[in-house]
Amino acid sequence: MNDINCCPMEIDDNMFIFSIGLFNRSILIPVFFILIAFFCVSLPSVVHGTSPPLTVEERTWLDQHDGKIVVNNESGWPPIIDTDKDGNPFGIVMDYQRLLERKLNFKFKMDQPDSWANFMERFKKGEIDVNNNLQKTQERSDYALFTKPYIEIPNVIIVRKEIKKSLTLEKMREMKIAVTKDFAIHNYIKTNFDYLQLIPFENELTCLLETATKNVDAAVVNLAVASFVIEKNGITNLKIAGNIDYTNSLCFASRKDLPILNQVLEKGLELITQSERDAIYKKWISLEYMPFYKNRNFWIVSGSAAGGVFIFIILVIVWNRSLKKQIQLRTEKLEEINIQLKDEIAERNQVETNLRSSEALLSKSQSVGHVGSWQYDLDTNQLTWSDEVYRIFGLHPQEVTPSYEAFLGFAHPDDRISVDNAYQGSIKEGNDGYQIEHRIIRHDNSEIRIVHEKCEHLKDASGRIIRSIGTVQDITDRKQTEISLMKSEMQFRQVFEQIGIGIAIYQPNADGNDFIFVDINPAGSRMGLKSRAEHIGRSVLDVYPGVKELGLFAVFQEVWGSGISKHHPANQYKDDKVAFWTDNYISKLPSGEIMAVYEDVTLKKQAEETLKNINLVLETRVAQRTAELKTVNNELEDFVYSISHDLRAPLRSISGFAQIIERRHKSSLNEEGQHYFDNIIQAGRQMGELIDDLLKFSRLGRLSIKSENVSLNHVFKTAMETLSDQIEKTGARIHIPEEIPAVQGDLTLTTNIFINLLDNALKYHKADESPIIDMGFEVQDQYLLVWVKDNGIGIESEYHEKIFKIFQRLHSQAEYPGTGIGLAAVKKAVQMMGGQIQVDSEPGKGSIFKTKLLLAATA
Amino acid sequence: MMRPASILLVEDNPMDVELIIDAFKEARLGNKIQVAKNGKEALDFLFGKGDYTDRSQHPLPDIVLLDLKMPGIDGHEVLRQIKSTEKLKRLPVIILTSSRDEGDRAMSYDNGANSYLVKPVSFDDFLKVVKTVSDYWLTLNIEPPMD
Repeated sequence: MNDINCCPMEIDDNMFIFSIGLFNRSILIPVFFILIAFFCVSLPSVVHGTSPPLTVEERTWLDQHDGKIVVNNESGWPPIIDTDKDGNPFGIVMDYQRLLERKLNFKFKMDQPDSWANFMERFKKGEIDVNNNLQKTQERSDYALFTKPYIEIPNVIIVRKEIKKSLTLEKMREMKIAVTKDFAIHNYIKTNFDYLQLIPFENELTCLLETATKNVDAAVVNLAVASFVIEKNGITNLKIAGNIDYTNSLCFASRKDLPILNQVLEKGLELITQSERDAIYKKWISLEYMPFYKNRNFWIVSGSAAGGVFIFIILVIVWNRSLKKQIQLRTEKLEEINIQLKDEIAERNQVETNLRSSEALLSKSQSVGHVGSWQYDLDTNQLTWSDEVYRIFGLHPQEVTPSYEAFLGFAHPDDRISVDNAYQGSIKEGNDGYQIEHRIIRHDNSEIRIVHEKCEHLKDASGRIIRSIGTVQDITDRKQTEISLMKSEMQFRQVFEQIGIGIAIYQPNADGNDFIFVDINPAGSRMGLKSRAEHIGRSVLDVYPGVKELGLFAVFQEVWGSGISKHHPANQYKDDKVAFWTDNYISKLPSGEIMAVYEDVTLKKQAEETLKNINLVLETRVAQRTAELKTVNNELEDFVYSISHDLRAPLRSISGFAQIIERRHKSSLNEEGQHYFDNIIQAGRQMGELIDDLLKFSRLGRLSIKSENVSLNHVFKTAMETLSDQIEKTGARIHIPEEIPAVQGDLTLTTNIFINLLDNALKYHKADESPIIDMGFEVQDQYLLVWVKDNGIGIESEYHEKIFKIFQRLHSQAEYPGTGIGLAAVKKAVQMMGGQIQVDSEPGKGSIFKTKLLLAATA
Repeated sequence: MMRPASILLVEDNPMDVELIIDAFKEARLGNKIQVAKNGKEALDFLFGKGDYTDRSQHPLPDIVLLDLKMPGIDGHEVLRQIKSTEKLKRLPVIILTSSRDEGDRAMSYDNGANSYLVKPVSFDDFLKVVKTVSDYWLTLNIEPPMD
């Protein structure tokens, strides 16, 4: 094996040995024998060796037919069979035929030379007895008997030398391939590899010449023919690129009605020895191929076989060849080696240059990827680190001498034992390598980093580890990212598992008309009353047949198409088995999957429904109660009205007659009588006022009020006129704004409100001060706030509410006469027009009555 | 000088009757005041029925002072009958009532009342009302032709 390995003979990239005849033949002689040996091993089907002698009957038959058995005499297929310029046949077939004749002591009768096709015709008709180079086929077996093949010649792929790769027919898709037209090989390729571009030519020579001159890319031809043609025509730029599974296996075929002829031919062929066969092969076939790759044990098997043969042959050569020839051979060999050495030196220089630049490149890429590399030679105990290893450990490149102990020193104390075990263990076990992740402590800043180490061991032939090669990569950043990713994944997973809201993820099909469950969380499964396993891998339409009716399926499709998330509001899902209310948010994930987030809102819906019903009942009840109250209120107002009214008649009589007495008969009463009489008249007057106010108040509720634009300037003017007597009497100063926005309401009511307020302001003034009354306004949204501010006696805050209630009086009749109805009537009027009233006041500091009325709608 | 106008006072409350008559007296007005104590009596008087068939004894008044709230035939009914009777329809009817009710006011005017007065509580005010009525309706106003 070593000899072959070191042999300067060409072993090209493709592991094909090529050449005999194209190179110095003498060097190749030993090799040739090796190949022959190999050929013999690899062609076990070819018969060789001894055979039983002919029987008496066979011998007699042969003698009787000596020179009478007609055999074909074709030409045109050198070196297998052809005719020389004198018309004598020659070639591999003829050599075998002549050998056969000698072994059998018998002569065939050669027919007149003719073409192969014509011979085939005649053989079929029985006009000739034997065909000396026919391949056995099913069809031919109908009319002929065949011997075992006496030679098998492979067909090979021939290419120009610059094509470096090895080829098989399967790899030749893009190539133009020359073949011999209508030959069996042509049909074979056409039938079995119909996708190949075949270009048929007349013969092998044309095929090979077309290949050599680059008109085609390759030729598929018989090895023997190729060898012969290449050598004869001196074509130098071709080589064998591969073998194909088609061999030409040649047999002697004989007439079917003469089995005895077949028997004797068979026996004759078996008498041909291996050396005779080798001689024929050597004579005609100089081109060789050797597919080393075919057998893994090739080197061992053929190497030792060849080694033995080689030694034997060397001895033979030593003894049989002349010394001179040996010297010549050596010289040539040395010259060859010399040339090769020169080439090798040049090549090595180039390699070194390349190596230097690739080392620089490697160093650069190591620093970019934070990958350092190291090598440890177990024999020399020498460890080397790349620059990046130093940097990873927090050192300057080559700062310390690398050693295994130094390396262990950088490992984190807690990890040191496992790191040591990883290396030592793998050495002890004889493993191919190992990898480990561990912490280190950087030398420069004591930072803890995480590294990934990967190591491979190289072994010698005996399997002993001689060297370890490894990488160190700082993966801290990646690790941290991984950890935070894992943490985040765990958090989200926890949310996914624990949340009470359903989450499902679907894989849409290509058309978006089906969605397959990829994942679903426990809440989602619970809602559908199905297990997770009943969802995963199934279509949403299968698992939830009601999803279309729910309208959700359409939303899936819409979101799938648009990519825009969508809310499908609460709706009822229903199928044969389950029914629930669900509220869905659908979105499309960046992966293209669809996600549904959904809540079971059944209870909420039921509660809503109950609440709605309760509300409805309540509303009805409120309406009823309101109607009842309104009736009662109306009755009450009617009652107040009629009672006030009816009270007037007797009052009129009391005060009327009292006044008459006062006029006509007062003098007849004594002083006491007169005083009591005055009391009666005064009480009658008060009662009259009370009844008038009561009637006014109750009449408010019976009025149909208008909604019109009311000018407050006009209202104030009317009020001032109405109250002119009091104004004059009290000497009041009243300030009214010039332009007040109009309000919306009833003119009469509004006027009454401000008459009342102004009247109060005039009435409740301090004994020693004339009233100063300030009126103002402010627009608040759709309301107008109007205030009446006085400098009067003021009101205690506890009465701010009470004063608006009917009959609430704060003062005696003697201090400030009144009925206690005025402000109640004002408040009622304000409320009837949709407004509000309140008072701000402090005793002694005056009061502000603030009335909020609707602003008039602006035209 | 012209004979003072005669008045038919339709009033069910005797105290009010007394007050009104007193007020006329107080105002020194010499009008002849006849009183009907309810709606039926008023209609009998005006249509010359029952106790009032003798027109020379009970001539038609120049003006009617009519209360609204009365038991049985009320003031509205009396007014309606006066105003729908050819011979009586021009007779001035002044409503004198304690009601300020909108409904009462509207119905009275709709039925052809010539005036609507609310009875005041105080006697002084009563006097003013009586004087004004007398001045305006019995003195200033030219009565419609009755035939």
